[in-house]
Amino acid sequence: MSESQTVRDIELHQLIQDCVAGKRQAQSRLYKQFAPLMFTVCLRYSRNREEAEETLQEGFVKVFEHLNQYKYAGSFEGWIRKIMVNCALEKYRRKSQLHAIVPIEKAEEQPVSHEEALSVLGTKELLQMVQQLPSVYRMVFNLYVFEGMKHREIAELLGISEGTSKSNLFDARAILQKLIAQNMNADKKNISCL
Amino acid sequence: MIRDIHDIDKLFKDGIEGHKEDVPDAVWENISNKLDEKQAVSFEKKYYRLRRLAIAVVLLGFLSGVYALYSKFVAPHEDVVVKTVPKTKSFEKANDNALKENSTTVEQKKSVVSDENIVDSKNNLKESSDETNKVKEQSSSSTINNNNSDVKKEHSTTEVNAPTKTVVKKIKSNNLPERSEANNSTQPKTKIVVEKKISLPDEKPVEEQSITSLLSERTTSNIALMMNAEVFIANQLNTIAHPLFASDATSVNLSSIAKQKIKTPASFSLTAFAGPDFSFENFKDNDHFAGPPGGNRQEAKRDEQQSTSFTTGLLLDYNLNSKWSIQSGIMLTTSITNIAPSTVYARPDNNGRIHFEFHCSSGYSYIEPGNIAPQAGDSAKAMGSKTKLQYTSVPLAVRYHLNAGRFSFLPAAGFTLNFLAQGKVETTIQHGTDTESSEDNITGLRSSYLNGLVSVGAEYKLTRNVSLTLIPSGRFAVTAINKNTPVSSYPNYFSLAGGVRVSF
Repeated sequence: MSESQTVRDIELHQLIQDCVAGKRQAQSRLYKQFAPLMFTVCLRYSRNREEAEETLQEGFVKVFEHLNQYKYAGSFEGWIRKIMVNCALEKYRRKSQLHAIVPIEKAEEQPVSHEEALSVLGTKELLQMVQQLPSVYRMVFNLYVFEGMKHREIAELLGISEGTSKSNLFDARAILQKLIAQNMNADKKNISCL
Repeated sequence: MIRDIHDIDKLFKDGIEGHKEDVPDAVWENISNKLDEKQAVSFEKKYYRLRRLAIAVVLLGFLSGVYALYSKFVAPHEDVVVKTVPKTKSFEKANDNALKENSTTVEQKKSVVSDENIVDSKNNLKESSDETNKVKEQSSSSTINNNNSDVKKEHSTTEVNAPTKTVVKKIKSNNLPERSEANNSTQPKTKIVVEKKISLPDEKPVEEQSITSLLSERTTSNIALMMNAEVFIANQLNTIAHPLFASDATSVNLSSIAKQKIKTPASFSLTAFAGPDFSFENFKDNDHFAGPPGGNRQEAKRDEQQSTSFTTGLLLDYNLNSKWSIQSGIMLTTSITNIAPSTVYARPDNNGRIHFEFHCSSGYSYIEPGNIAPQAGDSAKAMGSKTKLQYTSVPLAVRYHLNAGRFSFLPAAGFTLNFLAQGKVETTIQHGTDTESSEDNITGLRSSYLNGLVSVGAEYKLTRNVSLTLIPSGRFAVTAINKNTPVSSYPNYFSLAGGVRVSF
């Protein structure tokens, strides 16, 4: 571990201690340090920006409430992220759980490379695509792709079967593919117009 | 379409992971407000817990003090009381001491009389001095003998009780050598012996003693007598209970007789008391009636603060035995609560008339300000309001008596039934430019409620029948004071009352 890393760790340790002591300035600093990253996490799990802001708010309140339980084992960022994901899941569970049957139209079969898609589609577009997914698909996709969970764990968390989790992931990917294709085509049309 | 389905996962992960998005400032403001709320709640809980802990510590300290005093004062006395009568020798010794003191007192009382006897004997002797020496001696000796017998008679007549007879005997036996000396000696020697017999322990001649010194010596002797009073009384009881010259004095169980003779606890006692209360309310939301402003426990806790509360009353105790008693009586509790300004709205009451509806933790009230005629939905500002609740209570408790000399400690537990005597709210309404004060009854209060009662009283006996009393107590509501209201109120009180107890 480099010296700068150690210094950062010590500073973070001190910051956490001050937050546990209830110092508002320290809490504000901690928030400013991790909020932008966590907001992206919340945007992935939410339908829109407002919902993401609510999730972020609830998440950080819980972070400060339970900060004294952080044992400095593992990444602090990972600890906060877990809290954010749990808040998002709680919000999802509070809403009615209807399995969305979304007709998936076959996308145009025009092969696009990963790099090409990345060059065209920015983070905001990708986030918007994820937000367009139905709730259950969005949950499964996020938990599988970003949190690295297995279908068995996802099924337990969401109260669905393992098979349904796999099916939902497949459908989510299909929808995202369609959305990517639509975006790519729209871009090409814009370019050709120019 | 993306060539590989798994590429889509990678595409989104690479595109989104690690991205930082700008957060609106309002989010941090909301978080900060929420943290302030939670901090206030936790302080309140901590304060509530601390308050309860403080009360528990005070009660524990009090009980520890009770136990310590009990061990110090009551336990040693119990040893003395419970002990059987000591063996004959020591008993006789104690008896002798008491009786000697008694006889000394008796002797002091009769010193004047004895003095007269000596004077008489003097006169007799003087008269006989005119005759021959032998005759004189004989007459004097006979006179002295007579005097002795007179003195003896004096002694015997003054000795009323049998044990003193024994003492007299002893005195006689003790003084026998002196007397025999007196009999054989000349006149002045005889006189001295007599004086010795009847004079005070410091052996001053009786005639030379002044009245004040006699009195002071009498006082000293009286004090000594008082200190041995227990033994003396026991001895007196012994003489009454047993033959005068019982050989085995240890057969007498003086302590049991003494105990029987010692005063029994009075059957009834009446305590008049008064003192302040410190209340800490417990509120619960009644979701069924939730909705109106001022009608939830958070608002009640925030906006209401107890102003004054005190309790006064009369308690009647019936002693079952020396340790246990049952207590009842009648108490009057008055509690005044200040309520912060709030907004009230005009609503129809049960009769359809439009009034401003005021909500508080005790219940609700329809305010009828004289000059203001509101329309449905109108709002007005209720300036600082005040609720006044009065309850007449009947307690029923069991008390345990711990006596330590003049002090007594009386822990008690029971319950109290409280009957509503008065429930009013005073408020000032500001509607537009009009301001009007109003006093109205609170709706929603139950006619009675039950609470548990715990107390640890302390008493100090001024006289046999009158004691000063201090009663710290706690009353905890078991049932709510109201019903069908948005907030259910459970008032708890910690009281510190002082009073006077009279035993009958």
